[in-house]
Amino acid sequence: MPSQPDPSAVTLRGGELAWRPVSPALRTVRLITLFVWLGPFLIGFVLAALFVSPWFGIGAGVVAALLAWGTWLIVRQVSAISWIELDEEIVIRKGRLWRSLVSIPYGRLQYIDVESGPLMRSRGIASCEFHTASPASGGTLPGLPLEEAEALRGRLAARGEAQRAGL
Amino acid sequence: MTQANSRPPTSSLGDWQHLHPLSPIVRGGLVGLGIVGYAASQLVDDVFRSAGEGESGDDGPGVSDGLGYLFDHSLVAAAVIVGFLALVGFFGWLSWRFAKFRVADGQIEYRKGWLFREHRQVPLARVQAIEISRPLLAQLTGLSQVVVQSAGGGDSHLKLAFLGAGRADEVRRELLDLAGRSDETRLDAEDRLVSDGPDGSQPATPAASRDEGREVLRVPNSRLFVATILHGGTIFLGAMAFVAGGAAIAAYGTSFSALTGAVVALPALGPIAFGVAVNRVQELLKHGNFRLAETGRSVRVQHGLTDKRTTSVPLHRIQAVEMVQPLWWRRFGWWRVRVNVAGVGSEGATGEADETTMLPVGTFDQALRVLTLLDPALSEDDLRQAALGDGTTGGWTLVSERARVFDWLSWRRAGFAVTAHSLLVRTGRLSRRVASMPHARVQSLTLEQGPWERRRRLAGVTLVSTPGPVTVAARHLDVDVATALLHDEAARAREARRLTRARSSGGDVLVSDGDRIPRTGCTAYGTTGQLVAPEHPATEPAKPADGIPHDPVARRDDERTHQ
Repeated sequence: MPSQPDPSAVTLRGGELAWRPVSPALRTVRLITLFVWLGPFLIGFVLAALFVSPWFGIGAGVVAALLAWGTWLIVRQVSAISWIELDEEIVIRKGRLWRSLVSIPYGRLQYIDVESGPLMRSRGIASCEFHTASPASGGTLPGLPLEEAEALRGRLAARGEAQRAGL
Repeated sequence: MTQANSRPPTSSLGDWQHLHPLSPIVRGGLVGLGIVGYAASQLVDDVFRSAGEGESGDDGPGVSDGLGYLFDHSLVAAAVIVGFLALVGFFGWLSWRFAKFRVADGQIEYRKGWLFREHRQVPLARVQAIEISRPLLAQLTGLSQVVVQSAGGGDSHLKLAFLGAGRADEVRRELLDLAGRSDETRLDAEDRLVSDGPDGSQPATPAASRDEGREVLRVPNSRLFVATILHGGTIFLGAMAFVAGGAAIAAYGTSFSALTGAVVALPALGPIAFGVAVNRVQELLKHGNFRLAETGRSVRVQHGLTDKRTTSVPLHRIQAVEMVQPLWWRRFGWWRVRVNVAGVGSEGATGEADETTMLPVGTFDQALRVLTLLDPALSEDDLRQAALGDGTTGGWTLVSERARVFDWLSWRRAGFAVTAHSLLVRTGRLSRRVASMPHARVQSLTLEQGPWERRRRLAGVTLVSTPGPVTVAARHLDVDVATALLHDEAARAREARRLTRARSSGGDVLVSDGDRIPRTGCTAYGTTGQLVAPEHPATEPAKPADGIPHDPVARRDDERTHQ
């Protein structure tokens, strides 16, 4: 636990608080997903351009551009996610172009979902979703190391219990 | 429940345990039945055909050839069937093997999944109701599912599907025991999807909210009729008809032919007109004979022209309120009041709007009365300023000057004000809108900034509420002001939660949240963002000494700052 971080130092840009990044493995996972989806198209277009008609090169170019853009986006997005546990809230920052910051009081937590698919698990990460009574809270923390996610879940559940507030 | 925490679960639920072995089959039942049925019908088909033709094979290439082949080679067929069954059985076994639940540390935990694992836990204290349901297939196999409803709405329900019928009853009883609830809670769950007490204490006796109560107001159907017609859709239609008529006159002169032109143009509007009409009539039918009564701790709403409905909404379940005046209603000074109610509005479109409209159309005074009834801590002066005022009078902070591009019409009005009890947000110059949310009801807070806002150093703050028609969001604020508002609101929400906690552990949960929180005037936010958290009263003028006024009268005539 960071020692008594000051909640009033939370800003959209981060400020001087000890924000914790998510695992870089998340980047790998998302990149793999991206390439698994778009890679076949790229190969298909390239083959078609070679053997059918050079016009398919345009498609290949478009897919390649999409890949490059997606890669750039993922790298930036993942590096923009950071979070911090305060005394009474967990604060998650996301996004570069559309920046957002969500602050979820422990006392409002209804339950916490920890999920990890095979790909994420193979990289040792999981995603933590925080549910309050409002589905719009949007507190998802993707890409935490597995044991950290479990620990966080347990910790927050305990703190939520202690600081619980009725609706 | 502290008892549930301290006492080790005496019941059988302490250890991980599995669901009924048949449950994967019942869960996948319909799909399985479909597949089996299809295969069987194909098989029977083949049998008959081959029986009729005596010899198979001269059927020519057909769809059922594969199956026919299987039928001819019974060994292969048997292998395929056995293999298929084994596969199904294996996956069923896996699913059964990895799905387990237990109750530990005051939480109901449920794990499932082999490839995609999921672990869900619901604190016992958050349990709203526990139900047993038996879908058809489960009924045939004598199984039941236990549904643990928690405050988060449909998505957060925890379903233990399936258990043996007897076991399900046991589990339900034990869970209810552990959650410190009685059976009446379940019976009464409809009335109180979300109960107030964090410790599960019951608010009022249900009987109190069931009686007739004191009538607050009725909405005359004639007014409702006019108000329903004055709607964007109908106005648009009227304007279109007018334009069409004008065009026809311009084109054909003022004679008979103009009329025919208009008549020709009308059918084009037909579908739209029909849609609008249906929508308006529905609205009228729904809100007709509207009556609002107060029963002390809840409000009773009666409405419906043909289908009369009575709903009673406990005040403590109301999360946020808004009053809206569409442009078309301004001439009459009419307003509409809607609310967010915890546990309502998350389930689908039907019935959603029913319980959230507290006043379909009413005069300004009526709207004020309803709002102060719903949230006694709101002051009429604040609301008046919020509804009709503009500028910074009354402690309002407006959108940043740099936001005039976005709010070119409403920059003089759009803004927010903080009272000791709640945050008020007002928007709209032509159609006016005021939303309010008590600090104690804040679920979470977001601070957002899009690319265009960033260039102008603006940001918006949203107070996230439970699902419903009301959103409380102050947009296009100066970044520093927005950040300061975020901190301030977080601090106030913390404080309010602490008060609620203290109060409920003190045993007195009968007072709604707003009642004991001292009300100060609105806090003025400098454009520089020099905002003060409520813990530092020195910089906040006219803040009464810390302490909790128990006298409800003292709450009414507190001083307000006008800056």
